[in-house]
This record gives sequence, C-alpha cells and structure tokens, in this order.
Amino acid sequence: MSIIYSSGSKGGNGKSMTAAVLADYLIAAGHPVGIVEGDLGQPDIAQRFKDTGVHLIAVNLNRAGASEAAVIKFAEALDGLPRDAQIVVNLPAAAEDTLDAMAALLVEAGKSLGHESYVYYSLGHQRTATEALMRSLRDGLLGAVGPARRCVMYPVFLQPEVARFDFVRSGSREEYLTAGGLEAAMPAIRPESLVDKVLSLPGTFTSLAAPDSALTFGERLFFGRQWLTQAHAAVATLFGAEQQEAVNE
Amino acid sequence: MVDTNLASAVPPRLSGRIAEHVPEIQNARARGVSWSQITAVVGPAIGIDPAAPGAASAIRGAFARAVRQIEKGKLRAGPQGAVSRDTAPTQGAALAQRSPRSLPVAGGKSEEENAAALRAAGIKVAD
Repeated sequence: MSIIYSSGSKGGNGKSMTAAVLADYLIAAGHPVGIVEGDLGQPDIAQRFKDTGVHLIAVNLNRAGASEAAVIKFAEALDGLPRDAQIVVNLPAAAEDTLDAMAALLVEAGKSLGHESYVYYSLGHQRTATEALMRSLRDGLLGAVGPARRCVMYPVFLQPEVARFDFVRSGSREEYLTAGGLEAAMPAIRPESLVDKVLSLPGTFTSLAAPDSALTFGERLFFGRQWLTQAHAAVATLFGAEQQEAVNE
Repeated sequence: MVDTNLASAVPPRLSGRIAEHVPEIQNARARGVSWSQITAVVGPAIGIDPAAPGAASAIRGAFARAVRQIEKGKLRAGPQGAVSRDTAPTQGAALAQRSPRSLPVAGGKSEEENAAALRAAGIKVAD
C-alpha cells in the first residue's frame, strides 16, 4: 500500500485540492482509503470527507520547533489506519519547516508499516517556489522518495500557461525530468462561478458529479465530464495506467 | 515590591518577543496573509509600531531568526522569550510551551477551534 503526501512550498498552491482529488480518485477506483489531515489551520480535507466512510484522522503537523513531536504524532496516526488502505496525507503549508528535515524518517516509518511513499508537490509560479522545490529535492520529502515516486503539480488556476512557471523557465524542470521525476497540470474548475459552490459542498467529487448531487445538470456537465475527468487523469500520472483503468471501468 | 528576578527585568530581543507568535505567523503566511497585515496585528503586541518605516521587514527578519532559535532550543515558543543556554528547553519542552493560539485571518479559525469542530463532527484528532 502507499502513503501519498500532498505537499508544496506555501498555501494557496492547490495542496488541499490535490489531496482531495487524489482521495476521490482512489475511492472511485475502489481502494480502501485513509486520510491524514495534517493542516488543522484549514482542515478542508477532513471536512470534505468526514461522512464518506474513509478512515480519517487529524494531526497537527504544523509545529515549528517541534519536528520530533510532529513525527511521533504522525507515526501514531499512521499506525492507527488500516494496513490495506491507501493513505493520503494533506500536509500544512509550513510542513517544510516542520517535517522536511525528517523526511527520510517519515519514509522509513511508512516502510516499516508496509507502505511505499509518494509525493505530489503543488508548485507556485514564482522563483521562490522553484527554490523551495529544489530545497525539497535536495533535503526534503521530494528527495526522500525515488524519482518515479514524485510528481510536480502545476496548478492551472494560478497560472494557465505552464511555460510561465519559473520552474519551467529557469531550466530546473529539465533537470527534474531528466532525473526521472513526473509532472502533471491540475486543471482549474470552470466556470469560476462553480468554484465556491463545489468547495462548499462536502462529500467526494465523484458524488458531486452524480445525477442526484446538489449541482445542476449544466454544472455537472462542466464539473464531472470536464474538470473531474482531467483532475483524475492528473493525479493518475503518478500511479500509472492500472488505477486509471479501474477508475474508467 | 521590587522584582529581584534580574532576568525578567531585561527586555528580550525582538526575536525573543516574536517567538510567542511564530505558530500563528506561520499559519497566516500559509494562507497568504501579507507581512504588512501580520505586522499590523502582531506588531503592537511585541512593541513594534506597524506604521514605522521598515516595521514589516524587521518583523519578517525577527520571525526567521526566532524559528531558527526555536529549532536549536535556544528560544521557547512562548511568552518567556529568550532563555539561557543552561535553561534552554528541549524541542519537546518547547512544544509544551508553545502558544496554542493561531492568528485569526479573515473568516478563519484557530487550530484549536478547528480541532474542536472536527472532534464535534466525530473525527479523531491526535494531539
């Protein structure tokens, strides 16, 4: 089974959205899913999935100056989740301050519980975001997993043109891809008027795309047929075609 | 009554004063709150006039120093400010001293309020 971290350099880059899409994708594929909500400052994932039947636990992973305590709590949370579950971890924006120094330990803790670790990294479009990503590759979570187990996510709602991300323009992306890293673009929900409605409705995204959801037929057309399909495909980048086929069945 | 505790009579450095607010500032930054907005809220609490030139950058620098000092155990994230090497807490102790408050941002709640809401909703919260 897997522990899949949704990480990133700062808030507002789509970490929670990536985590939510990923959990939704795994649930739709029929996997037992556990969610660790690590962001108590903004526990969107816990709120969204609280009544969906997934195994859910909230842990404050935003603990400046107390990395060890955070890792201990996190390991205890992992230990409390079913061994056969795919575990999605929504990291807080400040996780690099708290957890990155202990990334190898986190990965090791997962392994000892029988889980391989994967990282989705939601990237900002500015230079500071590139620098944070390169730091994570060098010393943090991204570096602690193998190249084929890390995926940079470009949040299209931040910058529609991937070519304009500093990571791409600076040439760092080439280096990253050459080393075997993966990448995907997380689509933006369109039209924008739909965003608030979707974010305010709890439950899985797949259930929101179903005919009996609170979305209108027209809204479901854009949300389910267009956005959700693309979003699932984006997170499937890291997990390959096998799971995608299960989703499509 | 004369305060004979000399240490308490020495005002801590800015990084010491800001240590109490480190978790809440991190939360605010994670939500995209600007340094000038943080300065407006935190500044008066640590004796910085938010309107003074360079106030935001002073707080920003002090925050970065405070985080490093907390990591090294030289500061505790609490109201005590700077401590001597001899009495520097371990990181675990620093956690125990940590201010539980989070900086309220527009429409936001503190971590403690969110944790309570999650518990009320039947979600297990490990703390």
